[in-house]
Amino acid sequence: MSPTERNRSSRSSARLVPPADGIAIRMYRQGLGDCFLLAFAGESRKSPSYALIDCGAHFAQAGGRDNMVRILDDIIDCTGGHVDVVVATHEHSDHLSAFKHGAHRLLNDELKIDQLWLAWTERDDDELAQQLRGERLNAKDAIDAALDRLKAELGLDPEDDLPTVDAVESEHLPSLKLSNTLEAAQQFFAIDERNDDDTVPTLARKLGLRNPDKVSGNELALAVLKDKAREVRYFRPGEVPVTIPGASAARAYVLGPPRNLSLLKKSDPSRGDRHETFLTSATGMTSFAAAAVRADENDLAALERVDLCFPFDARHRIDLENLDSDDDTAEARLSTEEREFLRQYRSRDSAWRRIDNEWLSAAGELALHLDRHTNNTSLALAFEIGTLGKGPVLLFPADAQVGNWLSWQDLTWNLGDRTIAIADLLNRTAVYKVGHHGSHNASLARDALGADYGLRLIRDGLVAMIPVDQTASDKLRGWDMPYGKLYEFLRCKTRGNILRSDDVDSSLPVPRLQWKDVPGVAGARWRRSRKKKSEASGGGSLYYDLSLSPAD
Amino acid sequence: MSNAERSRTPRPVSRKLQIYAFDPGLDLDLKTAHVNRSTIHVAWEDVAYGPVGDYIEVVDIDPASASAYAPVNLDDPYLLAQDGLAPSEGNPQFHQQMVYAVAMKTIANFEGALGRKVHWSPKRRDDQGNWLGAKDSYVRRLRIYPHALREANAYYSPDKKALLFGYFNAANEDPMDGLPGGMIFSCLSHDIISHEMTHAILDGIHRRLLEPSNPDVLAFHEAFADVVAIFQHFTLPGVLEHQIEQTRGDLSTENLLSQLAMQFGHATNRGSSLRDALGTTDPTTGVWKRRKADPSVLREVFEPHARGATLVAALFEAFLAMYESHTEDLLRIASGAGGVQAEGRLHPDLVKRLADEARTVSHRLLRICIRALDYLPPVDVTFGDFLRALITIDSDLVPDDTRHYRTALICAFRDRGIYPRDLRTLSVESLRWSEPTDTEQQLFSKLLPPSNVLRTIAYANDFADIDGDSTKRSADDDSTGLMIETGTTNERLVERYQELGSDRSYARDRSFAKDESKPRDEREHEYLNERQFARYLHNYLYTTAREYSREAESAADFEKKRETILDLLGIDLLDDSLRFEVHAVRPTVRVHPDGRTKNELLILITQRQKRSIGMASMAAADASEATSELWYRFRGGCTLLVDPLTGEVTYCIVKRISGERRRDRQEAFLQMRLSEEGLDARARYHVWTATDGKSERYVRQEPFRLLHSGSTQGSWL
Repeated sequence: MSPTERNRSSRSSARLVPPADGIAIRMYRQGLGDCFLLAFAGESRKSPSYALIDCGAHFAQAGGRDNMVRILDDIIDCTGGHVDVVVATHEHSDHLSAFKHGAHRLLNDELKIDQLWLAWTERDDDELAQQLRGERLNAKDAIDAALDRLKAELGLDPEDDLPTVDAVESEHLPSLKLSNTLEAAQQFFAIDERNDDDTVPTLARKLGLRNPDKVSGNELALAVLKDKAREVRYFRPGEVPVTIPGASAARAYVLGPPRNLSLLKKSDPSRGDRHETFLTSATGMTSFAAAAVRADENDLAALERVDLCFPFDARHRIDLENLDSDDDTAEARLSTEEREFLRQYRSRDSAWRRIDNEWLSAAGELALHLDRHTNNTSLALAFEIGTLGKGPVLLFPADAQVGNWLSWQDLTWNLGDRTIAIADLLNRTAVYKVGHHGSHNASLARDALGADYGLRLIRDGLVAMIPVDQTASDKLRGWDMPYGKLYEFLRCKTRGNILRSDDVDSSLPVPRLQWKDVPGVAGARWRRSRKKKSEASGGGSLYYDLSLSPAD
Repeated sequence: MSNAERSRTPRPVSRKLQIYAFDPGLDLDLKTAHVNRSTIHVAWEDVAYGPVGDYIEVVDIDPASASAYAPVNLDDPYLLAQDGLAPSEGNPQFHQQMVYAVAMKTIANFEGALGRKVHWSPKRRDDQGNWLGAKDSYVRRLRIYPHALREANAYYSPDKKALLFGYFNAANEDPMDGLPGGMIFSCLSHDIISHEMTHAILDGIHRRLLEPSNPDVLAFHEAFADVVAIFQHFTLPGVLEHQIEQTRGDLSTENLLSQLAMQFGHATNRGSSLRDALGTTDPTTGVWKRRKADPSVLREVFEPHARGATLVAALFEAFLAMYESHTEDLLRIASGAGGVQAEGRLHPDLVKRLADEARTVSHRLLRICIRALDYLPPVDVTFGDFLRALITIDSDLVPDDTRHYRTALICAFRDRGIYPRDLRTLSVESLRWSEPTDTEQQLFSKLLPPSNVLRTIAYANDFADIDGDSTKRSADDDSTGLMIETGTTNERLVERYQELGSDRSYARDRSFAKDESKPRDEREHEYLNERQFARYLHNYLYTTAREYSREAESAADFEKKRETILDLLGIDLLDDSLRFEVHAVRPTVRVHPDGRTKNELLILITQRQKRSIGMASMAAADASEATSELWYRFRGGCTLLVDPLTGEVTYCIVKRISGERRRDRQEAFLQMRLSEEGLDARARYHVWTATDGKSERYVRQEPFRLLHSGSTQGSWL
């Protein structure tokens, strides 16, 4: 018996135990980032079934890494070092980082995993998934390459880390106007977890991954999970309700990600009258990608693709590099006047009007876009406890955005004697894990036609859980978390029964150390932990527990 | 120019150039292919390689492809002989020709309506990005980069005085919408070119229209750009006739004229044009439906393009009402007694007559829209102000409104919730800007220079010589008689004016000037005149206001006089802590429909006040920013339209710097936008913190890039 194991058994009272036939949900409060431990009632009271949904903290979260160590400790403690299911909802570090930083603890079996649940988008042999991965890879390469150009412009080596905006600003950036790009790209790479850990290639090699030097933190996290799980399961929306191993009366309905590409790529709400902006970016990014990435010279198909991304035939193109040289052979096609004209572009007098780098700012847009797209590949689940087709529902949409939500409308589940639709599941929702830290586009309340949908279909007596840290999210470009209007809506809907992982809103009720009834919600109780999260993240309880017994 | 010397033939009036009437997308539709290629007449000017003319320089550099494309030479005899290059997506020289042609056409529309030359906004920062202040410099040519970006975007950069057009691979998967993945060029869309050109021209006319002091300002910029693009459709030969034939004369059904950027819309997977002034296409069914006027939109929509769409729709609606009233009789005649048209195609003669009427109406509407720009207050423009300006200018031009154009305008605006907020009734009389009373006129005559000086200013551009001598003055020479010591009398000021030589200190923009030896073009001459007159008027007003206040018998009387000036001009001339600016002095020549011409002098005077809208914390910032105070500029001022012959002021359009309600509204608006969009959006709203002044990142952003790439958050619920 190893020291850790002995230690564990002596603290068996620390186990997270659900009420009879019910469920206990442990919401960890690392800040910006998701980690939820669900304990479903098992065959006997002493053997609940544990499901861990995500485990990560956002790079912008102060004290995030420290918190994740404490959280992993707690998970190992309160599950006895064994979880029945790990759900990895999507490939973002604020949902996966602990699996990377804590990879060694998984690899030496401190935490054992029975099943790993993933969305169909992670499946290797799925054609649609392959296509999506291909697009994503191309876009990543394009951003990479655009940033290399940017680095060259800033006098940096491609190997150097991306500088922060404030560090660059004083000297170079005024001439580049690319601060937004830089910020967006940084955010992107941070969420992609690159460049921050030397152990990644080593571990990647150990796991036998291809191109170990190019593996991102998130890819490694998934690889570790896949390696250690006894069984890996991929889910498509609308499958028959999935039994949760070891749970006596609970099942999961798979809602998303959709198989419909246009919904999968829809991340923002559009209003009835299609209020679009004049020219939206992130469409038709192929040519941008082609410009940024240099194709392999031996890959003829790739070369042809790249060539098609040039606006004109090669015979029209005059290499900008050769303009200044007096090498007549290279530019024999130009008359003297033509060459004189083009050379003036580089003249000192017109320096203020040059546009050498303006096109690179599309990289920033692309990065943001890619980020949102990944959110939309979230494995969205609804857990039902108690009687099949009747019990209360826990809605866990991960970071699903508008298109993912809308796709649920088409789903039905055949339960033999009757079929149930999404409206029924929504109506019975008792606990809502608020999507994407409360952003404006990850909680729907109306469908595409403006009819009530999503949150508006949920009946009263709802408890909402928002994993967010406003201080951290304010550092992010393009996100308002939680989004003001949504937050107000939730406060009304839940009558104030909101659990947040930050302490910004002092008007919310704070659970006690002992289990207490949740005001106004039958069968629900909550408490907070004695264990503390790191001071850097604001101190306070490491987690909140919420338990729910299905009403008879 | 050598051409002229060599030839006995007089200079041609125009140059004929071929363009795509809409964009290359319509070329592949059998219904539209034959009208999609137009030959338009562009005012003749000497053009160099590029093309580089008097107003614009097309520079075809494509940094994303690390390429440049050879410049087209429109003076090549072969090209002159065949109206320029034939439309072609694959030939960069044609792209250059098309942006040049459409840009020049747009300029011509503005010049014709404005009655003066178009100027670009001056270069206001040096190469390091520092403000040049009063030493701004003349920008002769707007630069156009037809292939600057590899993205579905195009924008006007006020800092670079340049239009940047992007190209991209189509995102559509449906071949019906165009070649999937095919190359789309925004610089080949007539609508996108004229839209972006209008941004640049507007910026030259009204710099303050980039300062969103209320929700309408930026929306007005966008709406105006769309209006110009739409009404330019009517000037394209053949297109109008074709569309009238297709719609059987009913332009309120789905048609190409009201739609903007068709190919772009399809290529970005909208399934329809980018915008439509008349209706919407249901994205799922593909069925087009005419949009209903909805007055609530203005209360809810703040994104500039979407908000501007309301104004565009109102103007198009007004156009339709006018067109219908113009053509009723024609349709009756053509149909016989019953007024019901026979089935089948319209008679070609009828089509032609209907097209003529549509052209007349759209021409008149576009003309008053552009002229109305001179009848707007100098700051804080609203849609309601624009309606008042439209009604005023139209009443002046056509006193007798037999066809009820003005009623059509008012109704179309009213139905969409556009009306001024401070009027008792909505009638032509109350909407017209009021003319000054006799007492006001007397005060004007005390404050403004006498008519002989105003006349000299108004005609200076026509008569003053453009000799090279004046360039010899040194750049810092400010003792040219323009600085007036306090206590100078009116008479002395007039004398000073007459003594004035021409102070022409300035920095010249030398890029792509093909003939440095040529002294200056007319527009540069006008620019220098304007700067000089502005300084003169500034000193004049400063002095006469003090002379006027010296008549005061008591402190209370002094206050009263200060109030009187404030009421009249909207600015406080007597407060030494508040500087004021003579923003523009523009002589214009308007041609009335009856053939009369009328000279007018346009004077814009503004004043600003730095004010705080509270702490940054209200906009949810991180700790380091939360404690800093947010500042903005509150502006007031007036637009004066002066008759130079009599020296009388015809209109004085005022936004008072003392207007407390307006100030509260602006502050509430800024707070609302910042709390919705976050503190990062502050540059867009011209709000800053103490540390921003030093930060390049704050100031150097592309306002239209932000607008066009759409980073605003969708509204929730």
